[in-house]
Amino acid sequence: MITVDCPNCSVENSALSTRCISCGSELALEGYVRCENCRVLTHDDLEFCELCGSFIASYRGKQKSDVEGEATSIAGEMNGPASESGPAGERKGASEEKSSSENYPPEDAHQPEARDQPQPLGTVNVPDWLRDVDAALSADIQQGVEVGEDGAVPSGSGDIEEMPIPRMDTGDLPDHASDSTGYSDWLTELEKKAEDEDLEPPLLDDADSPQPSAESTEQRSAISNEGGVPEQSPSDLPDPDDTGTTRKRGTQPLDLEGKLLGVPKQLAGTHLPSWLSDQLRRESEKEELDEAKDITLPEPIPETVIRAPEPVAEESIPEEDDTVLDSSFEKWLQQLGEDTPEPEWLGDSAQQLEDDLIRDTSSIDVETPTWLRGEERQDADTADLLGIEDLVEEKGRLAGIRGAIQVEPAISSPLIAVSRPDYTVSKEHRQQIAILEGLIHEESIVEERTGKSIIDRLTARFRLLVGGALLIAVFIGLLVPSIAEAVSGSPIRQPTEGVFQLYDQVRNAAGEPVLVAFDYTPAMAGELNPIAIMLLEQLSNSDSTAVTVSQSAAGSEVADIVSGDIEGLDVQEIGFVPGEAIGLRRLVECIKEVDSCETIFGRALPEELQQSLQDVGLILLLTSESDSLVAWIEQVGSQLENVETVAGVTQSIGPVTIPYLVSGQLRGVLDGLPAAAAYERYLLLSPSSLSERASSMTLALWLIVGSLITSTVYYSITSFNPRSRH
Amino acid sequence: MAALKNSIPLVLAYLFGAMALLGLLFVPFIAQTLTGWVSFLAAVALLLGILNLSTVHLRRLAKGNTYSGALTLSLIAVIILGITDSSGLTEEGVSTVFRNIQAPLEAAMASLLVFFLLFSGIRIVDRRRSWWAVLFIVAVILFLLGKTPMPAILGDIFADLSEFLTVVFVSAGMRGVLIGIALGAIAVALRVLMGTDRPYEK
Repeated sequence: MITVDCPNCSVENSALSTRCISCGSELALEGYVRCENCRVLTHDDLEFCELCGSFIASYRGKQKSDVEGEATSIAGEMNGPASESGPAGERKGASEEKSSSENYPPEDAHQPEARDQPQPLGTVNVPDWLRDVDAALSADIQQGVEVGEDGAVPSGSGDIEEMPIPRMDTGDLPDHASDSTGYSDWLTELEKKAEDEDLEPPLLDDADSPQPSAESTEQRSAISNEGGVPEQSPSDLPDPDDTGTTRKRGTQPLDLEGKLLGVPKQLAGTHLPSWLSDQLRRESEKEELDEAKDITLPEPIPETVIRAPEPVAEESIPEEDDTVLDSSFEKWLQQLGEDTPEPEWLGDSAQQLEDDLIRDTSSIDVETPTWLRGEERQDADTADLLGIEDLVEEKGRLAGIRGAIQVEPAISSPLIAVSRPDYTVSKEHRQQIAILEGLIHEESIVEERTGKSIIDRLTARFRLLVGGALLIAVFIGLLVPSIAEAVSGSPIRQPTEGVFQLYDQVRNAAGEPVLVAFDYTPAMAGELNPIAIMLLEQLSNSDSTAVTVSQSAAGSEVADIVSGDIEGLDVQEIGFVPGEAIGLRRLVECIKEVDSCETIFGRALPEELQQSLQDVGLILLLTSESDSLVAWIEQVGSQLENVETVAGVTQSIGPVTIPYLVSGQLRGVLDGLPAAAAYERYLLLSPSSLSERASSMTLALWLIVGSLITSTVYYSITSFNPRSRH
Repeated sequence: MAALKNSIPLVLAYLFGAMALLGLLFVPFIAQTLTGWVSFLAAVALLLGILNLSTVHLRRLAKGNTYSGALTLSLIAVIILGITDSSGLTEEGVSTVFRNIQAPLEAAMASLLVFFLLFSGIRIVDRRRSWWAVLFIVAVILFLLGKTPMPAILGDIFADLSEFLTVVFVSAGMRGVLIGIALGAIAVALRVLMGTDRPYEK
């Protein structure tokens, strides 16, 4: 950053400043030109500003310096050393920009003694070029004086020699008390001359912009009443052609566009000479002070940049090309760190403390998340972290910063798929899998085999054929039972040991109550009803009482039907026993403690029934289900030691009774129609319809066996024939 | 709250299981009381099943299912007959329906079983050509022949053979099955008592 030494007090000031921060004198530097944009002093040999990069005309800078140099000398003679102005390049036009804080007016700027030294114009040595100004400017200037109060500069007549005095409305004006009476005529002449000229409005700082003479009381009062910093914006700039309008100081900005045409080059720069602007300002300030001495002026605002540079698009900002300000800022930071002395309270232990901090932090086991790490996706330990911290970023927006972690590689890299947990497969799963595989295999075989053989093609007809043949065989056996006897002899075989035992048990239970369980549905009534009827008739013949019970609602109804068809049979109903094994358990308890069993399953037991349960001599089980058979044997038969259990079952569950028969838990079994037929023929010695049914069953069995053998042979043969395979 | 909801059924199951077991061995009164409650609950469960069945089929009837309508209608009719029978308005109405409708229908359904078994037996060798299928068919044929009266020329060969197979192989298998069923029932009961298996949470 360029610094400028004050010519008066030799205090170092920033190049952005136009006045010394100590004494308030105008800052000047030979060979330097103030940038029109950012007000930074720049070498006049340079084409562009060092700070903002805006174009600076070198010849213009030289001219400005020449003019300002003369103006400085003049202003110095006029106003004294305290009011020395800088080069004309510091002049600014209508301003809505504010200067930086470095240009804050000095404290003694408000002291009237330093500034309030009005001197008539006539006592000042005016340069020759001013004297040569055409008198025609006098009227314009005079008018311009009035306009200058509100900042409006009349347009010049086109004469280049005309130089209207730009009037600027600023909010930060040093409290100068100046008597501009001596300059009024001369200024008005200049303004009139340059009324029609079109010039670029000069840029002026708030502090040193020329103050229009506040002639009107209204303007002064308005200015004084406002007190604050006037806001200036481009839209507030007055119409250049509007020369006659008066503006209140501080309310409307000065529009200098087109006002400086005709002004000599020496004066027609974008900036007024400092001595000129100072004089203008002093005149107006003096008048204001005279009228508003009791008003507290607002505190001057720091000088700001009048025209802010246009925002630059982000694309035009080079990533690696930091601005001068950034580099200068960085340098300033570094310099600050270097220049900043360590606190006294640290003493000699500062370095030691720093070392300790480094050591402590480095020993901390910090784990950087993997997604934050750079290209190397590894677990970072402390050493790696230290290594990352030592790396200085060289490019990008984080250039110069240590420990920058590359995030983009981590983010852009594909996510690592998490492996699914291993699922356990239990034995049940394997069994299910095997079953499903078997089903699929069967289905596939079925699909393959369909329509491949004669039998397959005649599946529906074949089924009808077999079914019809079966029906015919059954009818023939019923109608002509002698056919079976003619072929195979008697279809009724000799009774087995179980049949004989049942016969003995039933005969031994004569005159005693027999608990008859009807645990079958009407679906099995075709095979079990003949057995039930035969046995109940035997009980009836032996004067036994049948106590019917059932574990199913249908069975109780069957019991009613069957028992109702037996003549002379004493029947007592318990009815439906719910709960399966638990219900049988309850029944057994009631049988054992019949004295306290007055109700069972919500039903009141009659005394006869209670007596019958107490005297039960035999349990006759009629069932078609193995579960019922097992439940009766285990829950009832095992609990009643003095009561035997016999069973009449279907031929399908005949093998289930064998273990119980062998163990003695069952004392007799009638398994199916053939056994019942044998029981009836050989034991009861009474012909019945069971023989006819046996004949029809024999023929049906022959047919079934023949069908099975035939199909087995056929498919076994075809399995070895390659043609039948696909 | 969830823990309480899960723990109460478990505690009750264990408590009543232990009481029934101990009552069976030491205090029969407790076992008798509990078995009485079970029988009552079984009857209530049957009633709930009937209500659920009627509800389901009423919904289907509303959607236009005619079979559900027939079932619902028959259910209502039998219930009404039972009420009238008990009240004396009708005599053996339920028995009449059972004897003339239900019994023949169930018998007809059972009689179809022989045809399905026969067709399955005929095609079993064709569908599953394996030694196990052949062995199955051979066993079936032998047992059928053993139960079927044979001509005198063949004598009682098949009968004796089937008798032998029944006494030796079949009975052994059945004993194993029955023991397995009993052991399985014990294991299930112990699992329920210990809380490992919770069928009441399904």
